Formats: sequence, structure tokens, C-alpha cells
Amino acid sequence: MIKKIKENFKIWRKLKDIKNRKEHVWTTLKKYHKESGNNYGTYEKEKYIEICFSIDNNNKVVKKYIHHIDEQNDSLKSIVYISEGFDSDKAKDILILASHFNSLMNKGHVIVNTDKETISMEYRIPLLIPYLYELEIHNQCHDHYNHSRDIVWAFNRLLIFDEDPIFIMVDLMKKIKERVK
Amino acid sequence: MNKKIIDCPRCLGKGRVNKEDIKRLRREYFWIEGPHCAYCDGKKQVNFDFANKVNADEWFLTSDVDQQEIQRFLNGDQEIINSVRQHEDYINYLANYLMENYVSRAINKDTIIERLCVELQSTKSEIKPIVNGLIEQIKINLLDSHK
Repeated sequence: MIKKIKENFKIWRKLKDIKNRKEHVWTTLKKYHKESGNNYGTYEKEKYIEICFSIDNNNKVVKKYIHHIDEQNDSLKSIVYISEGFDSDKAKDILILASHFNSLMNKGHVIVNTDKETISMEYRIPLLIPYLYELEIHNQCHDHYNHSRDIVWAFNRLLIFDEDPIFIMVDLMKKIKERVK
Repeated sequence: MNKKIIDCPRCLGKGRVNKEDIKRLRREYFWIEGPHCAYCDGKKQVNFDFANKVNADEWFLTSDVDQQEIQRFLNGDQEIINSVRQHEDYINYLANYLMENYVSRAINKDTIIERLCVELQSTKSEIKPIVNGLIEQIKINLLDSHK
């Protein structure tokens, strides 16, 4: 009971100081990554952290992740670059696969930029949430990474193995079903 | 001279090289699995002296290389040894470049070939077949879990 009162009091105090949420979340985000022990790059001016993770069991496919305090949109964003320059001939299939994901995902979305020929997957939450509940930073980074593994796997099958988006989605569903069993 | 016979250290006595052998010897950029082990000539065993002299992961020793050239290499011909080592460095460089740009950053093949042509001061017709071959090898040996 006392613990809960203390927690509520802490949140109430934070709400009084809501103007400082950007700085507070940024400091907490840096602290979280420092404590994780991984190698990462910090960009103070732009307020983002860049980190690379392997997404396969062989540690051969490495993707760049960005955790960013988006001041304009007042949100904490997690972005993974799936492709940094895809083949324009595959644009149609890429858009089909991205739309499949976007209609199925309840968190995050796949963004295809046909001008720059890039594909990314983004999670975004209002800054207020990690400001009030610091654990949300861990949850976002963790969930985003886990989610990205399936999406990268699917896009690799399209970009590297030239497979049809429909078959990729069917196989992905099977893969997820087996994992849940 | 030691007459001792041992199980082939490359294929581990199978007489053929499989994907596991390629991964164990870290030759994913150089070999694909095949029905005949060039190290033991499919005999499953080799002389201990030979195994002592030639490393099991010697990439050049494969079934599709001319026998005369292999003999020159085994006899220690400096010219061919230098050329083999240079080629090994070249393939490693290209394969690592592809792993970083084609696989991890997912940049399209044509852009990569153009960048490599500039970087290596080479022509498209020279680079393209090597890049295509390496991509196939990477797909088979390293990205099998993505299939």
C-alpha cells in the first residue's frame, strides 16, 4: 500500500515537471544503453542512439537500430533499417509485403521510401509514457528488436531469394505458429 | 617418413565435403558442398605427412582446379603460392564487402557492383561474375536459415 502511494507520488511529481520530459527520457535512454553493456554511438545534438545487432543465429546479418527522441512529434522512436537501397524493380513486391505487415501488426509499421529506395520499421510511443514509466524504454527496445527479426527475415527472402510476398507471409505465419506452440 | 594413415581432416572420413565441414573450416566464401573431397581424393583417409604439410582448410585444393597447378602449389612453387594468397585476400575482401552491403544493409546488387568498380578500379564485366558467384555461395552457405 505504502509502495503504491510512493509510486503515485513519484508520478505526480513528474507530472508537475512535465516540460523536462525530453531531457529526462533522453538521459534515461542513454543510461539504459550504458547499462546494457553493448557498443553504441550517441548523437547528443540529434538526440539518438545508434546500435548494431545481429538478427540471425549465425551472427552474419547485422542491422542498424536507432532509438530517437523525436522532439517535433514528442515521441520516442525505434527504427531499424531493413534496406538502405533496394532494387527499384522489386518496388511493387516490397510495397505488397510492407502492406501485409502494416495490416497485421498492432504495434509499429513498415515504411517504404520509393524515392530513396529504403525500407525501415518503426515503433513510436508518446514521450509521456517512458517519462512516467521508465521500464517502457526497455520494453520498446526489446519488443522492437524481437519484432524486427521476423520482418528482416521476410524482406531478406524477397530481396535476396526473390520469393513471392504471398508465400513469404504464409511461411512467416507458419514460423510464428510453431514458435507459439 | 611417417607412414601413418589418418582420417581425412577435411571431410572427417566421409569422402565428400558437406556444409558442416565448410562451416567448421570457415570456407563459406570459397567452397560449396560436393560429392568428392579433393583433400583425400574421396579416399576418406590421408597420409599423416600430407596432413602435416597441407592444411585441411587450404581453399585452393579443390576438385575443379587443374591437377598440374595443384601439384605446383604442393611442390612449393612461389609464383603460384603468391597468386593463391592474393586471390584469397581478394575473395575475402569482396565477400566481406557483400556481407556488409548486400546482406546487412540490403543495398541492391547493381549499386554494389558500381561501387566496387570504382573502389577496385576494375570493370563491370570483371566484377559482375565474381559478385554473382559469391552471392550464390553466401546464400547457400551462410543464409540457409533465411530460406
